[in-house]
This record gives sequence, structure tokens and C-alpha cells, in this order.
Amino acid sequence: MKIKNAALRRALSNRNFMIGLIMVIIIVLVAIFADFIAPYAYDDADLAPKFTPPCKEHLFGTDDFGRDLFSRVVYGSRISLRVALIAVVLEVFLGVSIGLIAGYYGGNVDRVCSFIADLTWSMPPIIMSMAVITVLGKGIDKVVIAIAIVAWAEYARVVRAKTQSLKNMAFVETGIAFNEKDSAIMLRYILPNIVPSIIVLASLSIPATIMNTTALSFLGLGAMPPSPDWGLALSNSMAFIARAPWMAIYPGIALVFTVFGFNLLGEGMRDLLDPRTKLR
Amino acid sequence: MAEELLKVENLSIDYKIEGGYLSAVNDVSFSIEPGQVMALVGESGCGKSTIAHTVMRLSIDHNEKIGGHIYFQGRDLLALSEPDMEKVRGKEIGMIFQNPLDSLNPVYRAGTQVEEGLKLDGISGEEAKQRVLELFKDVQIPNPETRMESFPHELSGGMRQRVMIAMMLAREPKLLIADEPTTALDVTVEAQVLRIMKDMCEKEHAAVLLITHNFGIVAEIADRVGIMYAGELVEEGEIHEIFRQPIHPYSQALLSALPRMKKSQGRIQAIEGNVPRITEKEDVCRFANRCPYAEAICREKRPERREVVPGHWVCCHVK
Amino acid sequence: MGAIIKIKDLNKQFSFAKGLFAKGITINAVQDLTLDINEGEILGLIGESGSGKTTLARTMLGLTMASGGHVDIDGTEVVGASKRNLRKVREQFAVVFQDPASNLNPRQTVESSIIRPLIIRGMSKAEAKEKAKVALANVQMDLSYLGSYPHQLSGGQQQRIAIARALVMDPKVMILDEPTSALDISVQAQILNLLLELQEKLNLTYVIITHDLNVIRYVSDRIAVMYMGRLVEYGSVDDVLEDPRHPYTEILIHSVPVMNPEDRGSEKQIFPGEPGDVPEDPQACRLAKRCPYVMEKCLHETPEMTEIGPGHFAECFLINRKNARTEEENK
Repeated sequence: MKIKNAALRRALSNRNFMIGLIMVIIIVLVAIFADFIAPYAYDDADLAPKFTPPCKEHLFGTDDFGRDLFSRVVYGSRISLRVALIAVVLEVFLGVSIGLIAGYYGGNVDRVCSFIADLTWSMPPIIMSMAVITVLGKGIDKVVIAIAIVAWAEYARVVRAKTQSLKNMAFVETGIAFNEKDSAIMLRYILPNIVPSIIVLASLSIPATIMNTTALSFLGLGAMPPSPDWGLALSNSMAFIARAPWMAIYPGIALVFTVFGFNLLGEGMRDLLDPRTKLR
Repeated sequence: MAEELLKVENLSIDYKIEGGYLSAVNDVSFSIEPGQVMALVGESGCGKSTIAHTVMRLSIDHNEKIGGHIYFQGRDLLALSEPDMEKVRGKEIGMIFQNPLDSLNPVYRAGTQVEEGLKLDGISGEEAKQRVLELFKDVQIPNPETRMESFPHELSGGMRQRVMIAMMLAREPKLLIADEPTTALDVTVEAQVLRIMKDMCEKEHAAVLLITHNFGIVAEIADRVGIMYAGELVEEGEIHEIFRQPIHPYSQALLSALPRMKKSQGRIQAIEGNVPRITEKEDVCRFANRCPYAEAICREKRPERREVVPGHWVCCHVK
Repeated sequence: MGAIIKIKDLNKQFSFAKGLFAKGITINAVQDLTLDINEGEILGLIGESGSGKTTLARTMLGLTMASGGHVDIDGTEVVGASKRNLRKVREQFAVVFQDPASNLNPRQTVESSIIRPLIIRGMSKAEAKEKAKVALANVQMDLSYLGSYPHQLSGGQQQRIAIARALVMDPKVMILDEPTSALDISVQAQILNLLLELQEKLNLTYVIITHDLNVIRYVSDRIAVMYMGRLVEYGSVDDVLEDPRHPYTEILIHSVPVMNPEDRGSEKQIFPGEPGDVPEDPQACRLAKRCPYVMEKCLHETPEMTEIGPGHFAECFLINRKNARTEEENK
């Protein structure tokens, strides 16, 4: 089957992109259809004896509460994805807005924005999360906010730099010369030309976010029991590692699979969207 | 006729792409005598720069297929091993580029960079410094002693280009390839650099292969000129003849498109259509679809190179 | 036809602030510039790097704020203008910049780019699209290009679209900054002829900025020569090119490579120095270090703009000197 569209052909032949895409699609489907895929509810305790090794009725075995691990891992995907998505949306919104404004207006506006960005950027996510949680209380959604607060600066930095260079391009100056409003310049002229970079950043940001939120849940700062969150599951499994290694192995594999998949997708997208390798 | 210094014979350069080859340079032949200034003129994509880079074997693209020969003092450069070519590059054949900031190493002083070249010829130390000073004076760099210690970013465009010329001529090459040497310079500086280039080459009896799209500088310093279109050399001859009586329809069209007068004195003639993109090799005249004299044969067969007048070659069926 | 743009004593300085280890520098991008631009004329503004010609254009458009002086556009003052007045002034202009590829938004179709200025002015989309079609026809491009994206077009085509966009705005004045410098000779010829045709047909006013003397000779009615921020000579094409009175104009004309190998000669004068070689004394004439006619006076004073003939002005103490060339020709 000859594929006409050159861009589509390139996308399909990029190994990273394709493998990553398949992996991500798998995870997304699992999350969406969790209700159909998981044989049991994730918090149904005492379905079977505790610490049952993997068998026909319980593919991944059971945990310390006798809950089906397979179902827990499947439902855990929902949490990971939701968390990553919300965090990235927040980061993008915050980062792009501030980056655009700082890059476009320059001067003191830029100084203030850059200062704030540098400040938040230099905070370790863990410390930041602890601070947020102290103020807002525990919970996975609070963790999301904490991650977003630290990570938006990365977007702002890139967007600011690109805005500064685009601002001097002839078509932008021409727009200013025929009386375009500042907001129009930023949204119609500059932003559409930055979108590819943002997409790449976002897709690479998702795995990082998942890792961070998992770490925080592992430390007990995020998800609360009986949440099937993978980080929490891993944390939980530590005490029983000798007795029931599958409690750590399967959530671990799920985590690695998801992060790896998004990484590959992001790398693939970066290749495809890089203007230097783009075909005309 | 003096022995040819550079003889390009049936040079063809193709780029490999998905599903075939693109013909960037098609069957080009010309020669340069010692001390002669030969200009290759044409619009963007005509292949003139590709030829220059290929003579120096500087092309980085590994997807190239090169056919034909480039004889330099009798030896085919395309057949040389890389170590042998390295001996030729810089020493026998020098090259200056359009943007000297790209060619000069930003972290070394100007004088040092010229000395580096001299070292390869066995000249170093005090003798080298003296030679560099001499060269800087020849290329009219004011305050040469001070300028030798300058870094490239401290020099203006015109100065940098002079340093490049000094650097290349330090090694006393037989041939200097200049690829758009003055395009990035202001007009008043351009005039100076051209004069220096011409004088220095005459003094060292070095031949020049000048690549440019600017007919003005060709008219200023070239002895012979070759006009390229879409990878082919459509006309080649002595400078006065070409300007006075261009034969190939493209040459005529190009010269008529140059603004040389006031609008009250007449209009320049624009050529209809656009320069074709590089495509696969075809056995047709590539100018046919824009040519006012085109006939049926032009679309069926590629014209051959004919010597219409001694020393004046044209590739055309009609003229 | 009267003056549509009146520039008086325009000044623009760029200051680079003092750093910890660096002295503050001030660059006079444009100095004491006074010039009128007449309705319906093509004014060619020529100069090399550092001449200030682009800064001048940007100041007229309000893309750069002048430091002082006056620029009156059809009755409205630009220097220090309120936002409202600035918008009003900009409506009189349309601008086409040098690089064809960056003149157009890569993310917008040709049609979107062309109708955008009209939409801003409140025109309905339908009406704007109609105007776009007319503009495209005016620049001799097929309507099928309306849906194309810039990267699908050649440099010449991109530049035509930029010109079409400028045309739809029905500007009083079109500012073209190096409109053909990035184009091949054959494409340049098409664009230059197109510009001349449009100007005749629609009675437009052009300010064409370039470093290329051949282009300026071809298209202009009047020429203004700039050097290091100052307007050094202006007048009709004939006056300035055939009877240059400012030494810099002379230098420029002599430096341009001849278009005819017959005309090259070893007695061609090559003038020393580069743009940027200015004397230490800010009061001195900017050309003093390079001028073949330099006198003691030139090192301490800047000459004033003096009338040579009707409409022909230059700022030099030796306006009435015999040029080296005219002297040769008169022998």
C-alpha cells in the first residue's frame, strides 16, 4: 500500500514514534476500558488468601489484603494517566502564557517572570510537594499541583526564547506595522509557530511527571490507600518483598512500560517535528 | 595555447534520493589556464557552488554520485586518495567563502591562523611572522602589526575577507576558488576586496575560479565566464564576447534582466517562468520551457556543446 | 503633488548601558535628518551598513521610537505619538521586508495572510476575500495559490504575496526594504517591473530602501543617499547619479562594479576605509577619514545641507569642487 502523504510516511517509518505510539495506545486503552479488563474491583479484599502467587484466577497474584493485583495494576493506569495529563495541562498553560509575555514584552516584565521561573525551577519537587501538602493537605491531586508548580518553568524558558526570536521576524513586524494588537501577535503569529516545540516538550514531560508523582506516592505524600496507584503499591510491597515479590514486580513493570512508551513517543515526535529534518 | 591548469571534463554530480537520483550538475566541461580569472555565473540552484566544492572535494553529502574528471595539472582530483587530496587542498588550490566569519576560527588570532598555514610549508617562528606581516600589508590591512593580534570578531567583514585572502595566498596556490567572496560585504568594501584579490592573484600568478551571481564583479575582474543554468554550462567564452554578443538564449535573457539603466531609458526584460527545481536527468534542453526560440528538438534531445567561435562554447540547438 | 511625508531634524540614538566592565556607548543611528517625500513618487534610499536607512523606515512605521525630531505623515505627527495616532499613521503605510521567507506567517495560508490587515480594519471576511483576489491578480499570480502555504512557494512568489498583502491595504506609502536583494536576477527583474507597473497604474508612493545602486537607478524618481546616520545628498536620479556633489555619493558610484567589461580600467579609483571609520570628534564630518577631498575644517565641523540646484542638495563644504571625474571628462 503506497502511502501518499510524505509526512505520514515519515511518521510511520520512525521506529521510536511507532513503538512509543503503540505502547501509549495500549496504556490508554487499558485505562479507558479498565472496568472491562479488570476481573475484580481494586479494593475487594479477601478475594483469595493474602500473598497468593500468580495463578489462573489471579494473573498477578494477590497482595497483603488479599486483593487481586492484576485489577489493581489495571486501575492504577487510570491514576497515572490522569495525573500526568492534568499536570502537563497545567504546566503548559502556565509556562506558555508566562513565556509568551516575558519574551514579547521584555524589559522589566521579562525580568520579573524570569526571576519567578528560575526560583520555582530550582526547587526540588519533593520539597515543593511537602510544602504544598503542608498547606493544602495530602492527596494525589495536591501532588499534581506541586509538580506543575515546579515544572512549568521549563516550558516558559523555551517559549520565551522562541518568542524573542520570532518577534524579530519580518511577518511579525509587518503585523505590528498594520496595527495588530499585542494579544493577536502573541496568539496568531507567535504561538502557532511554537506549537511543535511545545508538543515535544509535553510528550517528554509526561513520563517525567509520572516518575515524580510515583516517587511522591511512594514516599506517602500522594495517593492514599486504598488507591491502586502504582507508587503506593510499590511502597506497600517493600515490606513483603521476600514473601511476595510479585507485589513489587508487576506494578514496577507497568510503570516502566508506561514511562518508556511515553519516552519513545516523545523522542519520535521530536525527530518528526524538528524543522531541520522536515521535508518540504 | 598554454597548458591547462584545471580541466573539468564531463563532470556530473547526482544526489541520491528515495527512488532515484537528482541531477545537480550535468556534464559540465571547462578549463582554466594558469593566471586566468574564470567566473562561473548563474542563479540559485544552478550548480556553480556545487562544482566549486567538488573541485576541492569538500562535499559532505555521502549520497553523491560523481562522474567525469577534474584534472589539475594533469592529475584527476576525483581519483586521488584522501591523503593525496589533502596535500592539494590549501596548498595547490585555495578557497575563500562567502562568510569569512564561518571560515576563520573564532578563538585564534588572525595572524596565528595565517601562520598555521605557513607552518605546513615549513616556515615558522620569526620568519613566519614577517611573512604574515608582509601579506597583511599586501592585502592592505591598516596597522598590520596590531591586526595580527586581533581575533576574528574584532575585525570587520572586509578585514576578515582580507585575512582569508592572505591566509590562502600565503601558501602560494596555483588556483584560488572564490565562492561569492564579496556578497556579504558593503559595496565600497567589495570594490576594495575585489581589487586586492585581482592584484594579488596577478602578482602570485594564481588562477581564480570565481563563483558568483553578480554580473558586475564578473565584468570587473573576469577573463572568461561560464554561464550555468539548472546544472548545465550553457555558454562559456571570453568576457568581452559574452557581454557583447551572448549567444545562448538564457545568457541573453539574463543580461537583459540586469538593471543597468534608468527606467526612463527602457525596461529590463524579465524571463517568464521560474528556475526549475533539481530533477532527474532528462535528455532535453532544460531551458526549453522558458526559451523564446525553442523548437521541437529542444524538448526531445539535450543540445551538445559546440564551439561556435574559437574559445566560445554554447549548448543550444537553435543558435 | 505635495509632500506626504515631512521629516524634520529626525534623531535616533541607541544607547548601550554601562556594564560592570564596559563603558556606555551611544550610537547615532539617525542624525538631523530632514527630507520630504512627495505623493506619487518613488524615492530610493541608498546606503551601506550603518547608514541608518532601515532605522529611518522603522521610525516612520513606529516600530522604533525616535529620540527626537518630527515625522509628519499626511498631517499626523509620529514622533511621540499617542497609541491612537500611531495606529492612524500606520494605516497610511504598508511595508515589505527583505527576506521573502520570513515575510509571511508560515502557519497561515496565502489568503489568510493577505486578508488579515483588512479584517483588523473591520472589513467583513467576504469583502476582504474579494479584495485579496484582486490583489493576487495585480501581482500576476494565479488564484489557485490562495490556499497555499508559504513553504510551498518559491522566493519570488513569496515576495509577490508580500506585495499583494501590502497592496490590499490601499496604502498611501509603500515602504520596501531591500525587496529584491534575496532574489535571483531573473526574479528580481519580474518584481521590479511589477512594482513599476503597479506604481504607474495605482499612483502609489514608494520608499525603496536598498544598497544596490543599479536597482535604485532603475526604479527611482528621486534618490536620497545616507551615510552613517546622516542624509548626505538627495535630488532627482539624474542629478544625484550624473552630478554627484557629495564625496560619498561619488565613492559609491565609483565602487559599484561596472556592468560592462569594456568600462573596467586600472585608473578606477578605489577609496579607502570602511563604513564605520568615523572620526573621534562627533562634530566632525562623518566621512572625514575616507574623503579624498578632506580639509582641516571637515575634522571639526559637520557641513550643512546646501542647495546645488532646484531640488538637489548635499552637505559638504566643497559642493562646488570639481569632481575628479568631471575634470577628466572636461579635459
